[in-house]
Amino acid sequence: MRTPLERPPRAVTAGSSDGVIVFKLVACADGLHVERSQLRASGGRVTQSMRFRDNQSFIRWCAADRLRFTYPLVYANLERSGCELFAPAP
Amino acid sequence: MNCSPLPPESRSLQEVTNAADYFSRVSDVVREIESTRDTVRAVELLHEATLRMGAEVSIFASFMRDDASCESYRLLLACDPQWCIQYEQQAWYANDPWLNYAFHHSDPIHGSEIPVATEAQRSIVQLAERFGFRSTVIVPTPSSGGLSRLGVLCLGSSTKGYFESEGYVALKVVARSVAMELHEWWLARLRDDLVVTTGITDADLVLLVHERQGHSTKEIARQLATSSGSINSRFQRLNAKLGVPNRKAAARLAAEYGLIESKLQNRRRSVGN
Repeated sequence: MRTPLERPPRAVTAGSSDGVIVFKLVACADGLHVERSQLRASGGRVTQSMRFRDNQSFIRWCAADRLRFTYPLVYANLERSGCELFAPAP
Repeated sequence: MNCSPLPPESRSLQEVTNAADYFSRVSDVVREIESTRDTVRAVELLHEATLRMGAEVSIFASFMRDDASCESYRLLLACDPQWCIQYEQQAWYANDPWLNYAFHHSDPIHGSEIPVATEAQRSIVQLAERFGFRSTVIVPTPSSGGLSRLGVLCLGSSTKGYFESEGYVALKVVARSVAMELHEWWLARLRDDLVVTTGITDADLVLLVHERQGHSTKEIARQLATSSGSINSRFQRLNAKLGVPNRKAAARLAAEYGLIESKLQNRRRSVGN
């Protein structure tokens, strides 16, 4: 059971309104956990779960994703949220 | 850019696997995978298991076919995530020689023993090499009973020939247990998700177990002490809940997600008691 002094894990969900791409971000002890879930044209879904140890590798990863050109606002939100989660909790 | 991670230690696989606590250290992680509920922890445990087994990087991929055209993949990454972005952008799953091996075999194998026949397959292997998979072990976790679901653990080292050496037999033993435990973990999460999203009940599962066992409507009605009309109506509602066209598809979907197995296990346990 969580004691009153413990904080819930910091987490953010971001995604496109058509449901094609969804990200779940969770700040974890040694970095940032990201789950990227993409609906494929065939109807199946591909979900990747991974951990980033530093801000730079996360930003590089965001920049390499071609879907950022289809959903620029989603990716802007993703990068901002990820960087905030890397920052120490207040 | 060299994307390969630096080897944590420059020990040979034999030196790693000869350690007195090699098996127990990996077993500790396997036990924790069994009890973990969330994906964040599962990824952390995959990282930990990878290093304890003597590898540097790994990927656990699981696959399920919901119907003839709908294939879903889930990947847990203990490697540079850039690999997956590049892999996904090419949609290479169908061409992947290691994944194809896992579809048709159950024995772990060195990646170097799997034939690479096409240009697309060569590109996949070269991409993996760039991300620390120069020497690899492919560990399939197949399913029985004609189900499509499948898991495969891919272990990697940036040292060429690292796994093709003494120590491989010990590695195979622990890698199989890690892969099986991750596969079970994944199935349990899928099962939980399906139950929550569809609202499928215990009574629904009883019907699906009967269907999977090939019982007729009349036989099911007799066993459940109700009418055939009632059974048909219940199946219609159940098909709608699961979003499938008929009861056969409903039973297959439940089997793919492990709900039938789970129900039969519970039944066996209650009979045993």
